Amino acid sequence: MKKKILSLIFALVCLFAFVGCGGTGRPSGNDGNTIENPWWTTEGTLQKENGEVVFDEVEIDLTTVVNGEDLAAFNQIIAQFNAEYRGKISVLTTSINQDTFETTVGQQIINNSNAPDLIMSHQKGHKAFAANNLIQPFDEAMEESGIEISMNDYSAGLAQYSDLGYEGYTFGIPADAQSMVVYYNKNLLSKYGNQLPSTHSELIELCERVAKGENIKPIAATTSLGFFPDYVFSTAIVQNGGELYDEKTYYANWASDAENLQAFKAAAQSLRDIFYHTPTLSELNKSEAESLNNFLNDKALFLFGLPWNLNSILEAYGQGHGNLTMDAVKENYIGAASVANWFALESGTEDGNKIFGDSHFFAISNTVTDINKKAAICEFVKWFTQTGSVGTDWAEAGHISASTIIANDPEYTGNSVVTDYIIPFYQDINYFVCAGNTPYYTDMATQIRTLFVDLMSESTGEKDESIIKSAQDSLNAVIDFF
Amino acid sequence: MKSTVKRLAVLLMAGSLALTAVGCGPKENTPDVPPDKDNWSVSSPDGTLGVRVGMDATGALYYTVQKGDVAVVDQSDLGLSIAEDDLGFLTVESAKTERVTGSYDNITGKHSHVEYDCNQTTITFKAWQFYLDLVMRVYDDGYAFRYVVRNVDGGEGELTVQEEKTQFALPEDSAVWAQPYVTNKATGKFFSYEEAYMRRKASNLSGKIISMPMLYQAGDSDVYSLVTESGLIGSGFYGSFLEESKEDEGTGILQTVRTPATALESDGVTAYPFTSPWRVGITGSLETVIESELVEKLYDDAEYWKPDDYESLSDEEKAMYDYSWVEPGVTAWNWLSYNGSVAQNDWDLQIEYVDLAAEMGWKYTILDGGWNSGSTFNTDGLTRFCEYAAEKGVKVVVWCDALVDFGNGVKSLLCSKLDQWKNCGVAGIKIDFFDGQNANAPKFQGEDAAMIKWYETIYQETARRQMIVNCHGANKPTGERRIYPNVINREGIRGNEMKNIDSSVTVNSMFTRGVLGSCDFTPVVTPLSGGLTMAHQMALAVLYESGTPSMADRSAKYAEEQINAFYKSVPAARDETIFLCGKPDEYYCAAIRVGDEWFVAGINGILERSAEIDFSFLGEGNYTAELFTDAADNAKAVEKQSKTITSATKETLSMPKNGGFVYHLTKA
Repeated sequence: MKKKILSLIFALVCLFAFVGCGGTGRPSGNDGNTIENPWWTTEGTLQKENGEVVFDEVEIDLTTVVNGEDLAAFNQIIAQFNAEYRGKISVLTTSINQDTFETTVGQQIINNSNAPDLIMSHQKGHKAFAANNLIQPFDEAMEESGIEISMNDYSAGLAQYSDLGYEGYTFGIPADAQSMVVYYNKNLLSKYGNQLPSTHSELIELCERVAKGENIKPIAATTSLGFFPDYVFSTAIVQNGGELYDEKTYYANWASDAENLQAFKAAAQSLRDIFYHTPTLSELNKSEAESLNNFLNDKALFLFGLPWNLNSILEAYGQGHGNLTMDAVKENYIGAASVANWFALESGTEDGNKIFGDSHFFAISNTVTDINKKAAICEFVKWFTQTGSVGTDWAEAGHISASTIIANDPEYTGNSVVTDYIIPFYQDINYFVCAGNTPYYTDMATQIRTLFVDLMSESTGEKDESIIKSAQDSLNAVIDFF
Repeated sequence: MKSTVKRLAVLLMAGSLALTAVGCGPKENTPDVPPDKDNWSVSSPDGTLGVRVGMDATGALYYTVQKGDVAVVDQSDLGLSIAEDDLGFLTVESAKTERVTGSYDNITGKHSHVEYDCNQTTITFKAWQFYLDLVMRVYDDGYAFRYVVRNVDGGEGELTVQEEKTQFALPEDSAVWAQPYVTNKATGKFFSYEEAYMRRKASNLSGKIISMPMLYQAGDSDVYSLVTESGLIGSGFYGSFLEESKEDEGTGILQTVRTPATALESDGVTAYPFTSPWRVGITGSLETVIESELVEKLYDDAEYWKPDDYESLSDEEKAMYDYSWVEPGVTAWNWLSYNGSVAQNDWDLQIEYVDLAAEMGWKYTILDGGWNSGSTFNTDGLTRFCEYAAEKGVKVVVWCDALVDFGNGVKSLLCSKLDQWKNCGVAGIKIDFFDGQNANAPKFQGEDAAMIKWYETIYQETARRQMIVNCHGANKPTGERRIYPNVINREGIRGNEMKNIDSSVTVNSMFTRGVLGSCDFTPVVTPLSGGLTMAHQMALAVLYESGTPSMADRSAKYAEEQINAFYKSVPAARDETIFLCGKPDEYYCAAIRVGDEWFVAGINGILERSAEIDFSFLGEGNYTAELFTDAADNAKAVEKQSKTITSATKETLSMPKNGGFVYHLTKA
């Protein structure tokens, strides 16, 4: 009950971010929504010369959720754009932590006070923005300006979310994808066969040999970090064929659907195989510093880490090993692996290739009305998401490009960070899965975290069904509340 | 009601504007110059900058600023609104113009010796119970004004400032480089001046709360103006920001508003006679702006602070208030490189950095946040540590939280801790989080008037104990070191601690925040992000003026033969600063003189470019120069070359994306 109340309180907090915005009420699901009464407006005349759009000192306020080690790279990309478009378009950025992003930006747009023109945030939040009339589609500006951004030029796995369920509209443009990734110790792997596991059983078998041979816990992971249940547990669910919500109703069907229940139970088991193994392969509730230090001191074969920490991990390893150069660390010490197929108990399934994570999408704030600004936004978004050098710079900060144009650009494909880390992290981005078009992702993520903790507090799966059902009911109660 | 009555009365009188105050109350001074009815002009000594103050038919005050034929400030409101009287309808009492000239010496600052010269006009207006003095100054490098509110009977008391009406109406098409007020609304109204400066059009400032200083380019001219405030400490006033009012949205007319970084709903209550902080516009070419000391010149030849009981002190005690004990010095600082891996209470790490400081000839080391957890640095440990450092010729600075460590602002707690640390041998404090983000229910924070007073208390109590102060998580400099020279360093800048700084941040900071005073950017050697190169970081070590520049890299780095001598020579005080070339958003080059030595440095933005350096500023004779430039294709390495430079030398430096260079020149 306490959990249910907490969930409700949390949901209310999220809801109040959007109160008063003339929202559409409880969204009805991905039923091919049509928009009969567009909530956005367009004003002004597009400036053109010889049929081409011209921009004259258009300013775009961009608020991004990028806030970590990758912020310098992001700012560099923006500075590059501003330098290239000086006198035409300038982009001014504000960075807001993901914990408060939706609330803060939502209020700004609702109040039309200090609101961004353009948002770059996780796709999972965009359905709620659209459902509350806070963002608008790109289509009209693309059509008028001739600046076309086709979803055919983006990974199908990510492009599928661009319409947010509103058929015929482009509400979001994907920039990248990110999940929890795997760094590995090249020397240790070499000592134990130099073959990365490609199935769950291979993972367990390899780790068991390393644990016994080295007397270490071969997987360094920080389960207390929210990213672990958000990304790894959710990845385990989808790799075992599970779905996080019913796409038509948005309700959780984690236990009410028998097949889904099996998938959730398999996901739990795949993680118990790691955390409750003998010998111990990994420990629950290790601090981030402790996990990292184990890996940096050659006391773990694998590190479940974040891709945007790539540079600091490589640098820290080099410093701890006689000031090795970054190049030396890349070449001889730390490699990259994907979690694809690591949690699927049944090998060889297509679902096993899936990786669950977040994707930065661009979206236009509903406060933008000037057609020249909308066109400038299209120009900038196209530049950011389709320019090879930009995709390469962004990849060096840990983000795989969502664009197939960038993915085929020689600068991108010839970059060693891309080839040695970014591509191996994800293998096939077409299998990348996001939260999608539920407006209840925040509540769902909260329940997923709770569910992960509850499941992992049990060493066996005896209580899994009741735990999963309880979490499902809690989430659905929150959805019912709205 | 009183206000309405007077408004009607004044409207009846409007037109004749017989505002010479006949019979309106006691006169104070006989003016040197008869009142000029409704407008007054003040010019800079060189005649190129002019301010015109006027009063319209409704009795409202305004001003304009002109540099040559360039409008710098369009007609803008002046004045204050107070609860106790109607300062909106005034009669003219007197106007007095005088020349203010003099000079002073700095312990730290852009120049070791500064001369000031301006024309000052003081216009006295009268309301019912109060006089309002508008003190307008115009220097060759800018203008400044402030308000004085005095009771007509000369008495003292309290008044409530409801609103400051001061505006800065930016000319059409002006470009603005501004640092917006940003806070995390989920956790509080915290702001410590650590955002990036970004360019935007003056017509696109709606809804933005802009911090000071704010730079703008007047229209499409080459005239720039840096708007800020001076004399905040001791004014009894809160820190101010700039914002378009609702009715002025999209106009570029910015009003001076109360700080949004606050724990209070309102704190306009202050004592009278009340003297507001100066509103300052450093104005001219970029060279003029960069080299200006206007924020500090406004203190004229003010004496350093002395306690009220100064006259009763012994000669020995009095002597300390010449502040000769304030020693600028480079600082060894390990927090940035070891945060998260080695705690600050690690004895060996701190000893390592004392040894580093001694080896490098640096004067200070810092025990940063967390140093006093556990027992390592208890009273005995801290004393032993300070003794060890003293034997090595190194002084110790300790970190503290401006609110948390002192009961959210309890003076007795501050004094007892300062006494305790001083007795252990500590030479100064690095005092942090004035924004209040760590404090539990603080009664004041940020730039609340009470926090400004708390700053002053800290400055005074450290001065009494001969301790230096480095303010972190702090507000912008407002010239306080002219009164408290022990306030030797200051954050209030987006610095290396973010670990994600890029050249768009550093270049613009030179034209904005860096103009005002010391900047504790904490340069490293090896860049922490891909947005800066090593030569850029080396240049920052000398370009940011700071009384205790904090060197933030790992100790072994400074031992490297290639760079060791350079970092031994990094100055903490300078005699002269010369702007050489650059533009906001693009690049910045300057020369710094320390005695007979010069440092010439440049930092570049995102686009590769060349900088032409003309060494004609050098004196006669040959200089031996060590030049550091970025290594080809390696942002984390530099190349070093030696050369001979004279005042006839002109060099073209190629700077890569985010790159830089630095020369160290010594007399041959």
